[in-house]
Amino acid sequence: MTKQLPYSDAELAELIRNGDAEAFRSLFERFIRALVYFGVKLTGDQEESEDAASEAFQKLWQKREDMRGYPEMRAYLFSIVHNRSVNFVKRRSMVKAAHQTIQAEGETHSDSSITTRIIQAETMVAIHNAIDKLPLHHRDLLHKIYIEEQSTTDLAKMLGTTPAHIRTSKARALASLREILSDETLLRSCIVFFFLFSAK
Amino acid sequence: MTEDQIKNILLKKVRRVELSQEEQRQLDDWLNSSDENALLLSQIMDERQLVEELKIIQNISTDTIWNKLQDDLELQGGIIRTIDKKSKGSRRYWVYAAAAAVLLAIAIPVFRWQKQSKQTELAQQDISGKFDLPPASNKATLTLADGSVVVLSDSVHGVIGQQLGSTINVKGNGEVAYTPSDNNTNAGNEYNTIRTPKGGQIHLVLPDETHVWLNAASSITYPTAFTGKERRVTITGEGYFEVASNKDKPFFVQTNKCVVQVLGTHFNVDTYEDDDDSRITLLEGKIRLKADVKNGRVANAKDVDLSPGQQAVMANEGDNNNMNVIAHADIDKAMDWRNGLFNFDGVHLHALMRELSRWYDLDVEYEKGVADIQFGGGMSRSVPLSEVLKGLEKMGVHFRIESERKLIIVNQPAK
Repeated sequence: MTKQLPYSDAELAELIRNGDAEAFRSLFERFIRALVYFGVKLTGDQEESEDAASEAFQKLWQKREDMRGYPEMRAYLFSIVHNRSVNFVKRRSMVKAAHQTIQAEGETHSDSSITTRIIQAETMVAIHNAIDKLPLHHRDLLHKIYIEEQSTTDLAKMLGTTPAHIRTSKARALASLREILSDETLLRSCIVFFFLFSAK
Repeated sequence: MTEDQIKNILLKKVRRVELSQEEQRQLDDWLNSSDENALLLSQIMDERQLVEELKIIQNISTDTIWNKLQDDLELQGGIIRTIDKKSKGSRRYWVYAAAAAVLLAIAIPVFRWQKQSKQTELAQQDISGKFDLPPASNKATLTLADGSVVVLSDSVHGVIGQQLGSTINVKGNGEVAYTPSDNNTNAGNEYNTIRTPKGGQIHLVLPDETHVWLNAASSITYPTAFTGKERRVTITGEGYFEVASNKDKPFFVQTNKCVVQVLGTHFNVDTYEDDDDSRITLLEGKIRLKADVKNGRVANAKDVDLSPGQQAVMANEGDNNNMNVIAHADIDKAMDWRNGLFNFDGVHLHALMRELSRWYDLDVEYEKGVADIQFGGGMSRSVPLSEVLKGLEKMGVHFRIESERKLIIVNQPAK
């Protein structure tokens, strides 16, 4: 299943070009989190970023026949969210500075800075996806430790066990997280494989 | 080194896996190339920071976004189909349907995204040294009922005259206000007209407290007092209306395309005749586009009501007189001129230059064979022309300056 297929991304792009809604959905699942995250890091506004990401997919679907391939689709999605986010920040700062002669330029981003932000978004999503695939009890434990910030002693009390046991469980959970993460970059082709299989 | 390689290396770091020498070298190179890269590494290596970032992703409800996206696409898809049927083979109105130049637009999607080349730097110095025009300012001409003309500008202040039923007061910030005068309540119908030149704008307050912001190269004609059963004004060009509510006296806006009946509301009328389309965009309240064959070119079979967020689009040329309604209009795009911004999202070169020509009082011509490429992004309207031209240079638009107010768009950069 994790065997790399030679035509994965290109095939997905081709199906979208031909108006395949399933393929479009699969592209959506693949990029939606990264796009929203990318927008939030630029604007600090979750709702705006969800709208921006949605608009990006909307425009991509409308222009699908002009898209030359997968890399272009990816670049297009991020560029729409980037444009809109920069405009959003600019507009917000202009509203703040109402009626003065201002030159609210918005933040300018160099090529390399945008690339870093895209890498950041996609790496974060890869980590998120790996956590999502953890067995429930591991995920639960990590959630309590990292998100709810419960201490080892409190957790041990709550679960009726010893702090040492919690520490071992945590180490196990992290170990399996690392293992999943090592497969994470292969996920792409895996999804496509699934998809090709079910689409036929 | 590819982005995928870097992502793989970063994930290895998260897993605390030892890197190969080659990988370590690639990582170091990448870290040295920018401070932001180093920041990103520390972000994913620090558990606490990482959790904060992951929380953002956890809060994203992908199902909700997908459902909304599906709704939007189905809606717009419906519109695409009806237009294809109605205007087969004729012009297409929708930005997203303008396919030919799309690839170019993708290659250069954002102002400032591009790296500057030496060539454009030279060209920029050239422009800013010799040639510049300020953005539009508050100026207009006011034609009174007797045909006499008053020039309005920032240097004109105070009460400038009496018209039948109203006193005209020019305030700061380009505002011209009509206030009803008590002694003349039975005034008849006398009309005044305000025209903004290219490079001008004005804010008009009508006797009923309705506000109209008039964009450059536009005009509005209105009675000096609203005495009859209705309020009726005529506009050309572009204006944003905030109409004072008055149920007993409906407000009508006449454009060259159609008649808008206003039911107390905020809306934008964009009806520049040299643009491809006229657009009426509703922000608040309700407006009705009248089935008025006599007074407008667009022949609606029935009245069309717009709800907030909707936009009516009519072609300016050709014999297609249909009106199309966009359910989820790009309100920002319609209103950015009021927010002090140029919005170039999905705008083609010719339309963009028309907007600049109105705002900077500029004439634009094209060399043969200049591609009508499409743009994204936007810019402040308060910058001098040279700033906008700098941006355009970066996008691969080249030009030479013919005279003080004339710009020729050319295929090759000027030497």
